[in-house]
Amino acid sequence: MQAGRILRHAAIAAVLALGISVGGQSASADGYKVVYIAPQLNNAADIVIARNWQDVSESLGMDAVIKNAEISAKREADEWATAIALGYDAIVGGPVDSLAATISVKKANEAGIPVFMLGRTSAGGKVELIARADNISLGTIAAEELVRRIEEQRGEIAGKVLELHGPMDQVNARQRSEAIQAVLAKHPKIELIRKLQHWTPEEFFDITKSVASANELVGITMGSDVIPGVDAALDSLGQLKKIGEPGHIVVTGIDADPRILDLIGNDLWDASALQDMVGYGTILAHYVKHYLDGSFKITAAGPIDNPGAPYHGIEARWNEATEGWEIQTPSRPVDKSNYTDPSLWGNAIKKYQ
Amino acid sequence: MTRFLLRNAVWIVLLFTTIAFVAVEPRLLSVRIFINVLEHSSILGILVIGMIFCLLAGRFDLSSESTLGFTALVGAWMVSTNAFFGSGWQLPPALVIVLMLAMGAAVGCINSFFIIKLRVNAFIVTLAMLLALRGFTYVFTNANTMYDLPPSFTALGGYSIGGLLPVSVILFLSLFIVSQFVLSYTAFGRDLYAIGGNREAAFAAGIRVDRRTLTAFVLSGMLGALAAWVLAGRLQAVTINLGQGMVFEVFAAAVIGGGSLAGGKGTMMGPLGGVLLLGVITTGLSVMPISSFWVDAVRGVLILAAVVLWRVTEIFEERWRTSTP
Repeated sequence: MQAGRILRHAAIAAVLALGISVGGQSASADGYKVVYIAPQLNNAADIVIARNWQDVSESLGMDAVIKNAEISAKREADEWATAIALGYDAIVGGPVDSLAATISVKKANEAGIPVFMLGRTSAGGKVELIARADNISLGTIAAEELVRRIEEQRGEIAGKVLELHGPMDQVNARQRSEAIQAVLAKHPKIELIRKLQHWTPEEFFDITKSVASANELVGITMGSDVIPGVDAALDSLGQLKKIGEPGHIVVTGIDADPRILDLIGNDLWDASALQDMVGYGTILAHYVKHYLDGSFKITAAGPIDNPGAPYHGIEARWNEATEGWEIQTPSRPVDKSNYTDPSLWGNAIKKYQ
Repeated sequence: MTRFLLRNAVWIVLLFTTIAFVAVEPRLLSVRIFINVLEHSSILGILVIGMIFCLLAGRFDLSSESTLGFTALVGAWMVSTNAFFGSGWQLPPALVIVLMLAMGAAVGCINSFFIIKLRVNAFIVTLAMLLALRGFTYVFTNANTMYDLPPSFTALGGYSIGGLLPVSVILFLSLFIVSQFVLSYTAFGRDLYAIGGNREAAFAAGIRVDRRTLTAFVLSGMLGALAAWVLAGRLQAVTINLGQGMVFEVFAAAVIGGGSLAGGKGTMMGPLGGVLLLGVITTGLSVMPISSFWVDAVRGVLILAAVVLWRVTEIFEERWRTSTP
């Protein structure tokens, strides 16, 4: 009985000690203190967005901290409240839920803390700059590459195409899917089979295998290729053929994940529409610094060749969106011709390993 | 006859659900789709076996999905030949598989320690373990996807006999048969029923309650690791969120199949029916030309209907039992 009690107390003490040691970490660099409250850090893409922003911010002398909302609007609100209480010089968000985040943004506004957004934005509140990918461009390129390659391979744009799309309450998923549908709708001989998934590899595998078992597919496209499963499902059916081989099913995706770059190199994946998260994160980090320094503030739409121009090689424009000023880095196709380009995030991520 | 129907309600529901799906979508009536249902069910099935061992002993194991995710990612990290995302060790697959199973067993031991020795509620312990393992998975792999797995590692999940029958299906069905045998014909199985029915009475009867409970959790952990190996092979890659949310389906399959959350009741064959029912629903909805927006709603309603039907048959069975002299 006594031993059990001692063990119980020891276990509780160990848990508390662990919590204190983990929670006690703090940054110590000088300069502006800025925080990025990430929606999640559970995949390579979100890791690159966060780490690249942090790297660039710190290279500019800022003390950059990353927090994780773990896909929870409640957790996100808590992190925002903590950041406001700690008096950060700027808060960079990437809302899990754009409506729920509005309250937090307004509280930051009231506290006089400038707010910036990375990847996605809130539905309200004052945001100084939103840096994100052009989702319409991503979906359009994925679909156009699919159609072009189907025609190249089969001589006509016809047949059944599977689209794995994400939940429609996510703006990025909805815009990408709508763009894909808009392109494919121009080709009446294409029969589009749309299937909802929730970004899990099990779903990517099971849905692809079920649909490919019951239908003769000519192509597959998806809202993000960060999630594996499609190539494994085709492989398990004996339908994963190299480009140029008879029976090859054309596959295009969005994001250009590092694993997909390897598949492209092996001729097992046709193309991907690049989400330039390194580009827009870099631009945002510089803009935050300029903003806090008071050296530059956007006043008009136009190319981003403004003072300092540290974003060399990144093609983007300042635009005035309904939510505030934004920059959208355009997408471009990634295929066998350029998959080794070191500026692709799928290659750039390797420096974080 | 009535008794037979009541005891096999899940199989009858499975039969009628399958007929209904095939009537609406005739393309479902093919060998390939049938195999797909079995393959889809294999991972869930392996996890459900572990859960049934724990449920019979009157305990929960919420951590099985994280055990799957953690062991899959660590195993893939150790065995991957990828220069950037792997560990660089490229350990022999056989060794990695043993290590994965050992990790699963260790998770079961840790759960048992807190539940048996410290008498902390199993729900809380395994929930904490679920969160902790998910967190360690993040820390361990920097949230990267692990790929470039050697063929000998992926064979169990990825190889199909004759290009049609996945090895994982044979494994999963075999495990159910063996587990049912263990429950029906071994002292361990009988002891679990006794412990789940009345722990104090089982202890008084000389059953080593703690040891049996420990074994149930170790088996659950090892089956989680086994499922991880199968799933990694099937997908030929492992992501940070592998298995996330599966615990809900595990519970649903167990309950649909007649498993009791109070313990001491159920078989392996009932939950097998529950697993296959979920597999039919998921695969059927994938093939049918149903609007994407309806899939989750339809799946949820069908699962709820199956659980309600199971409960109704249970009530009838209880009345029938009490009214029979």
